[in-house]
Amino acid sequence: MSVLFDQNNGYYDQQSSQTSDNLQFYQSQYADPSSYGSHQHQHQQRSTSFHSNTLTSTPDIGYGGYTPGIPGSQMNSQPISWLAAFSAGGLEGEPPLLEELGINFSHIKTKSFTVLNPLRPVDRNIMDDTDLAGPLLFCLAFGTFLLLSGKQHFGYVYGVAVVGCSTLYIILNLMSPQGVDIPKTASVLGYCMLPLVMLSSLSTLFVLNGGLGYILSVLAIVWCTYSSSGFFTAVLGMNDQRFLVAYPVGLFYGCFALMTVF
Amino acid sequence: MSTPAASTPQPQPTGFGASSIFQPATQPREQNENHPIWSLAYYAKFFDVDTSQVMERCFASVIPKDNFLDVMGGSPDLYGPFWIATTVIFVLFVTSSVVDSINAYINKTTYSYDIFHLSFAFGAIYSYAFLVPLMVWGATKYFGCQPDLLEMLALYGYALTIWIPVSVLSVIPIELARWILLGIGAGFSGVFLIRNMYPVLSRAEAQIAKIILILVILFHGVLALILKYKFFAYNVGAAPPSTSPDTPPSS
Repeated sequence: MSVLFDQNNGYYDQQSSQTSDNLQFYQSQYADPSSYGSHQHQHQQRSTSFHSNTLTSTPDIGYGGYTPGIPGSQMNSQPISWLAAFSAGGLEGEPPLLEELGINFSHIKTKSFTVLNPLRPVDRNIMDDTDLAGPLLFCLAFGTFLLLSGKQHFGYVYGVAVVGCSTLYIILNLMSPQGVDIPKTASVLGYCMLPLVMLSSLSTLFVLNGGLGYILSVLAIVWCTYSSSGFFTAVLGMNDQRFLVAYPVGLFYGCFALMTVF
Repeated sequence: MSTPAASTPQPQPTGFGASSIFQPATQPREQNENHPIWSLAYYAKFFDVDTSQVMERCFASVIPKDNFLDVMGGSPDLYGPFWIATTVIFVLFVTSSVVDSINAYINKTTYSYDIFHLSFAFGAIYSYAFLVPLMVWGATKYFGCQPDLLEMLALYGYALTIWIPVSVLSVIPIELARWILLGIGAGFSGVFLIRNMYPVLSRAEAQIAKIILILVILFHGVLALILKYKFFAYNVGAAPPSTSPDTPPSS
């Protein structure tokens, strides 16, 4: 049995050493003491031990069968009970649902506020946990607001997003000193679409195809592009190429603004 | 630190079918490795420019004072040619559509923009920016001039810069002004091209060099005339041009 715990330990250490500790949300964020009973002590022990950067393999902490990759699997001798699976109590040693899904609301909030306040310098490690939950939410909100203003453009949103992300992935890999992967580009582009989501919400109130609408849409594109190029240059370390990155990104957001206005 | 045998040390994906697309990048790219020609990393060294460098090269192409190859400092880039060509396409389409719609407003007819202007611009500008340098490179290579394909592409790409202000200014409804602007545009970019291609051309025999030079000027003139008659050919007070698919019944 201890061999299995050692293996779990090894996997966990490897995972935590790859990502920065800043956004490692396995620490204590969702350590909800009320639902785990006898495992509460073990959870808190594990979270405090992961707080320190100097964690190496110390297999002395009892884990109670938690394997990060396989939700709900039991390493000890308890059988999986249907009651536990379908009720709110959950299985032993199971992490919270949002943590398991990778949705971290406080990170989504942090990143959204960074987009909304583009004048503040962007932290280098902000994109360390690349989550697509926020961008997906923003794209759905964009499409829904367009629907509410009478245009059903979900297909166009999807198409432009896919083509634009792939193109920007190629461009960023050609231009940056270190490469980037597709989920990260999709994540940055999705988060920085927040001003366009706000523009589309305005389109439900009044018709944007007029003077004020043009001004607002240009403002939204500039805002999106400014924060998006800020993210990319901060995360990828391309300091002098900000405008060169901003140009294709601006075209990308321009497509979305065209969808909103016309 | 051990790297698995299947993946290369740098984080660049080596192909779009590789699953390494989804692995996060952790190490900076190594510049002195020999990447295969079909990998993205091979082309990365052509995009190693800053904003200030691109701006400097654009200005040097519009005002052809210095030797452009010196301005580029021996490292021509592909970012400029690609994005300047794309910008020229969009600007041409937008300005010609804007002037067409002003025309229709003055004539009190309805106007619907002709999307085929965009596809025509796309074809014309991209072939001028990428196919013509390829042909010139091929011809000069055949005659032993030792040209550099990248320099040719960069020259032709940056030579298109002047068409952006020319097409914006061609909104002016005076026909003479448009011809003058076209002449200035073609002249400046033609001089830029020829001055910077002359060292390469002079390495061939005199006859061949003259022929290639004449062909280069010819292609340039053809581009200028295409731009004039396709995009800048709108006359205020006349009916919309017949290239638009739906001509209004009453004009």
